[in-house]
Amino acid sequence: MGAAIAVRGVTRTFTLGARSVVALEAVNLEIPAGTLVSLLGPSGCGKSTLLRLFAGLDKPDGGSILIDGGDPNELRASHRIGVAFQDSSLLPWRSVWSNICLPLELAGRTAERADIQGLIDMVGLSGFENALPAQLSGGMRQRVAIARALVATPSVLLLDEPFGALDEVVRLHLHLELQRIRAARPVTTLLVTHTVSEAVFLSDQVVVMASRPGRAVRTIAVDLPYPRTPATLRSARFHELCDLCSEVLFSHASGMAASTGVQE
Amino acid sequence: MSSLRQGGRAELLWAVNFVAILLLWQCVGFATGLPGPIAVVHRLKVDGPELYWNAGLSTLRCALPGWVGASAVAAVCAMVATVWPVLAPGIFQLGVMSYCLPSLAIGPVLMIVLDGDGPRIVLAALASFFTMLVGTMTGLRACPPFQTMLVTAFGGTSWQALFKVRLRAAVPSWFAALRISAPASLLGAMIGEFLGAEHGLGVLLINAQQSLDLSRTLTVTLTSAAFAGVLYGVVGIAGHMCTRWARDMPLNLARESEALRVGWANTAQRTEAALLAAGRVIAAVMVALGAWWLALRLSGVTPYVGRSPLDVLHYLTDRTDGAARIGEIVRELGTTLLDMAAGLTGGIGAGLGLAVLSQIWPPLHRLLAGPVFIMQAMPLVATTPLLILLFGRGEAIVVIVGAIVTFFPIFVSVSQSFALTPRSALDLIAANGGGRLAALRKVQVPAALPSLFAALRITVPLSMTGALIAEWLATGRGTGYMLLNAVSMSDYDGLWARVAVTTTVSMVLYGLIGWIELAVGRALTAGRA
Repeated sequence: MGAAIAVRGVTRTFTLGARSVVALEAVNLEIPAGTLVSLLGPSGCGKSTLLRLFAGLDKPDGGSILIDGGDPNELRASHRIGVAFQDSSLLPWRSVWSNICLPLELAGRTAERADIQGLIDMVGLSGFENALPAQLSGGMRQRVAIARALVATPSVLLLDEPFGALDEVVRLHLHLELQRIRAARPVTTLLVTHTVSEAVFLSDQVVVMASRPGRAVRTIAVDLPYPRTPATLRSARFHELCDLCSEVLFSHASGMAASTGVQE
Repeated sequence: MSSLRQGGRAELLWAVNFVAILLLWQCVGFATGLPGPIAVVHRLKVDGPELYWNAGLSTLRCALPGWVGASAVAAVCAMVATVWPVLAPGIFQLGVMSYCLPSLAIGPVLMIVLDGDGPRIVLAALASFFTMLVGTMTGLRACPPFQTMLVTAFGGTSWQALFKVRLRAAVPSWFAALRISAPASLLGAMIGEFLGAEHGLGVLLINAQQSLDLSRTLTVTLTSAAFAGVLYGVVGIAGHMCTRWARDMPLNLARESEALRVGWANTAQRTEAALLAAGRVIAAVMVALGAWWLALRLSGVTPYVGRSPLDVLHYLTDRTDGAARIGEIVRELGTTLLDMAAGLTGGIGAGLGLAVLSQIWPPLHRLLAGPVFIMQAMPLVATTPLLILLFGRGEAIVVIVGAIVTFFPIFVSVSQSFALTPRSALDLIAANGGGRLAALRKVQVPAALPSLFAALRITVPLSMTGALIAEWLATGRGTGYMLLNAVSMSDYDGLWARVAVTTTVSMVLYGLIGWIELAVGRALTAGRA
């Protein structure tokens, strides 16, 4: 399970009226199968644009993205991509169960009751199968979104700031859940985030990005042992890696390095 | 469940409100000798309820097919506009045109062209089409972009996005439109009945008014309100049952139609937008003239009554009488417009004033909630005959009708806008030592101006219809009277000319207020953009 992703010299430019904005410039990445890679950067660094390219929702102007040697759009059309967005994007008229079934419906596959129930149990929502999104808390909605992203057993999981709107406690809880789920199903995962600690805690690699033009400035390997626990958050190595990410992040933020310096 | 408790309290408040209105009305009745609730009940018993029930059913027989037909056509139009956005502005423009056709002006023409229940069904359809179009279009655009993006990312097709997301997301707004267009369709049918029919509430109402039978006029008016209210309520409950997942969101016709319009205006550069707008106006005129000509051709009406745009042009540019005819039409129109202006001013003043007062003194807001809610479910223009009996046949009646028709939408829109003021903006004023009045003056009233103009824009065609009816039935002057006079004098050129003029004026006013609304909105957000 899981696919390897190769990004070679990917460029994407948008035209707004007479201006053209370079959202991504010559991005190169190698993502091994089954790993979790974070795209970490400030707003406007093109991380969501990159995610859209991975999802086959958009095409690069230059360069190539190959997922297991194929085009992302083919992967999308064959229903092998799972996505979850920041605002959970659950369909409000569907129950938890029926929201999770959506990708299977789109693929024209029948949902095995036991599989769906297993997934619901795995994300800790047993008993809420018939609840509507409006009846759930923010954290519960995100769990549904993650379950939905996984239901069609995708080769690639794309998470666009899925924990962005949650409070610290719920967020850590979901981080641990995601880790547990991925231990059971090692799917290649791309996580877009602007939180340094989240990126370090969850990833095998952190890709630090910078804006204007959007580009990947450095890839940092995270060598923290698994399973990562709340104790990991207090380890010296965790803080070293966080500091390193922050340093790279801030040194590329124009005008920021001089005024704020590197966070300790 | 605190929401349940609150729901119970709200219902109690409604009941108290309702009883209070009845009591107040009875007291007014005792004091002035006008019929109160007791007189209405008595009248119902004397005449026999069947009289009103059967009249209501006759009206429904015309209103329902018109309403359902208009909803179906609007749904198709909205889907076409969603799938081919190029066509959207044109379709929307046609909707505006249908909305600006004064029912009383187009009614006599329809009576000439169609027979049987035809004219009343078409009037009912015209009265509900624009609301349904706006509601369905808004609904189809309601889903956030990430919901359709999600379907695409999971490998779905754009058809799957339409059926699984867009159509489902459109349901609440569609029901909201259905609900507010229900009373409108009833009104359309009733105006058709004013103009001549054998049965129906409109017939009963006009006969009672012309025989100066106040208690029956009142009873028929209330019957029409009850029929409209039941229709409104049934659709509301059905909608609620189908859309439990959504928050109950009333459709604000003024705001949504503006949102649809601005949505297209922003897609182009400024000069391009101006050119597009000019092109659209020319296209609209061409389409209107084409529809006029085509309708005459298809209906096969004799050229003697069915006058074409060219005939009207000849009528107005005739060497000997042309100038005199134009002068006459302009004079009549001047009377109508002046009366309308007075009515609109009164309605705006009262609507804005009471909205401001109920901010300063909140109990007033709760007090007005009941009557305002009832009025939303009521075919307001149909109260014109009753108002004539209450306020006399003097010039003032046109002003009063205009003011009443304008008051409710303005009050509702401005109050909604006040309620939407961000807490932080009010806190900011308070933290700087400003009082309630300062908050209103500095923040709330300026922020409410766009919705005020939006409500006004939506009301103008209705108040035009109201004014025409009042002139026809009461004052005996102005365009409304001359329209029907032209029918009885068999002056068909004069009739068609006046239909064209009133529709054009109504559309120009609609466009003009829309333009002011846009300019005010721009001025308010200039700093932000």
